[in-house]
Amino acid sequence: MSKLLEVKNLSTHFFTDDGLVKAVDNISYSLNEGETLGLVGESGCGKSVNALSLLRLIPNPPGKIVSGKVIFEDQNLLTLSEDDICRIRGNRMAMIFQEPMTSLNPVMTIGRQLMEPMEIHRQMTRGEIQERCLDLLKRVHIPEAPTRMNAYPHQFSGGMLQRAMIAMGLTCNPRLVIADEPTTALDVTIQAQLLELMKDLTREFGTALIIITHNLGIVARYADRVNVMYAGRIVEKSTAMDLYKNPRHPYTIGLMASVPRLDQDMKKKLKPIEGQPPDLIHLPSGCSFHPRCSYRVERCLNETPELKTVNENHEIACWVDVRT
Amino acid sequence: MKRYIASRLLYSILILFFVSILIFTLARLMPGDPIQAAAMINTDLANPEIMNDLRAKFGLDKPYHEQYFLWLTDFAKGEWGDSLGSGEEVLAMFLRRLPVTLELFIGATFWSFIIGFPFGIIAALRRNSWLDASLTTTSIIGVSIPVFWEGIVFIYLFAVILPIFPPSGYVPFSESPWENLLSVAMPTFVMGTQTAGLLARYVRSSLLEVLGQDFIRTARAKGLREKAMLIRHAARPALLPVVTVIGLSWGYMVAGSFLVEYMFAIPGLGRMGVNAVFARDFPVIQATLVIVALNVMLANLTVDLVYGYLDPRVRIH
Ligand SMILES: Nc1ncnc2c1ncn2[C@@H]1O[C@H](COP(=O)(O)OP(=O)(O)O)[C@@H](O)[C@H]1O
Ligand SMILES: [Mg+2]
Repeated sequence: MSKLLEVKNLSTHFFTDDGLVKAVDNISYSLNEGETLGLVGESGCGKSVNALSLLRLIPNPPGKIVSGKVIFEDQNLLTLSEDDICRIRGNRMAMIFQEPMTSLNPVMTIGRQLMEPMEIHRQMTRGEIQERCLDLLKRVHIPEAPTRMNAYPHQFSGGMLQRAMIAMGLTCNPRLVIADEPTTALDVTIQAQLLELMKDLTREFGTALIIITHNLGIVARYADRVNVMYAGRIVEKSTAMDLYKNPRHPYTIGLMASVPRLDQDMKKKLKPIEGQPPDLIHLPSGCSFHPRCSYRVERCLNETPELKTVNENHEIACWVDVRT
Repeated sequence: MKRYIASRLLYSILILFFVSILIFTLARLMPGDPIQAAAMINTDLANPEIMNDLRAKFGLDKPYHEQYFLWLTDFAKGEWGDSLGSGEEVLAMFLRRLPVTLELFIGATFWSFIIGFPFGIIAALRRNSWLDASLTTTSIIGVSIPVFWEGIVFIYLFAVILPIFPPSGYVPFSESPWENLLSVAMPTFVMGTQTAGLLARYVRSSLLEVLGQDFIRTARAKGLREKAMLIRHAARPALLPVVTVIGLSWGYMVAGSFLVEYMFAIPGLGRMGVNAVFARDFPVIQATLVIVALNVMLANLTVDLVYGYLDPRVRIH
């Protein structure tokens, strides 16, 4: 498999009135063609900022990508001209956003919004574009697609809007789709349907996928590999299989205990991680997780651990070995 | 959409009905009665016989409810009565002056648009820059400057010191298009200044709000260039609150036209109304009030319809 995306030492900071927010702090990872990567972590740990940085969609001010490289299809997206990055957006790399209700234009028909990426990136006639959109709407199981094209977002349910968003992300047959918590706003049965749908479609088109979620259960089921983020950094990086069997970072272990697992006794009590996610402006010294960590040692208070390989396909940023 | 339009029309008619009662009552609240009030100023009328004739002519000797329906039906038929001062038919006076005031309205709207929109858009796109600061300051000055003061300053600067425009008066377009434009340039600018400032402020804040919305990020993520994103995605939602402001200021512009027509000696409806008030010429006052109310109602109706056209959430449920 060839490498599709390589993120190197990416840092994105927000210069707010209250202080500097290192929302993404020196993270590196890569993704192969057709692969699915899960990005996990509690709310506010920098998952969305990470995703938005790839396409340079960080609002500036207050945000800025301060360093790093995003190598996608052999070019560094961070040094492209504005025109060239626009040619990538929605075309080679597409994004599906968190809130379907607010992420679609309320005064524009679904059809026009759906057709837009192809109008921008493809030299196709209106008829051809329309045909492909209708086909995609059917693929995401939207009934009566032709009439739905002329409807406005407020006439759709949340689940249908998210289906339309998924279709919109796939119109130009991108090489990478980033789905930022695509199902959080929806109820559980619809969540599962949509994730299956997304997985099927990306597999069929050979599209790589980054699924952002705070739910480890989703990741275990749909992702090939996983990055666990905490306070702007990646603290554990592994194949999904290995992570699920042998979580090595205390934070990941905590996350696992806090979500229901299919392979465990349903009656087992869920245990949320104690304490609050840190305020990114006033980060704890050393390892940012140490105030909430039950494994902490002296060293955790003073030194920040870097990612280190523990076995093939598994890296953690932690001073202790939780297995001993 | 049809149902929406019908409901808006019905609403307007209802409002107009209440306003007509209000106007009718106001005219009857003059000390004594309207004829007596007029006679106190216009000595030609100060003769009991003439006064009684006039009372009979306007039906003032009948019970109130009869008076009201008489007035309403006459008004609807176009029989607006005669001016107590000149004896001219009020409807004829109105029709003669309407084009003049309409020209002022159109001119003032023109100025407010070509200043308000660019100011607001540029200020929003260059948010927090020195350009934004100076445009915003200018807009605030525009909003808060009193019409009469601005009028006097303009006459002094551009008619007295630099004699570009005539200091006052009005030349009809049919007589000389060029002199017509010269004669309305200053009055319309003065009349449109407040609206221009208001528009700039609203366009700026509305556009800024829309640009912060999630769907703008979606538009960018599709690969739309900045300009296309602004035109295709931001313009229409940003226009919604602005439409309301335009409608409101059309209502307010009446007040502006009263002042401006008086200051620049322009023979429009505003001047007619002001003169009528001073002369206590009650048929003309009544007609003027109705026209003012109609204008406000028409502005509101237009706002509602444009709003419905722009926002599918309003017209489709
Ligand atoms: N526009 C912004 N201005 C200031 N701070 C921001 C902005 N967007 C995100 N942040 C900060 O970046 C951090 C990470 O946010 P985000 O990536 O959205 O978290 P999540 O992991 O929940 O997606 C948060 O602490 C947030 O306060
Ligand atoms: Mg997020």
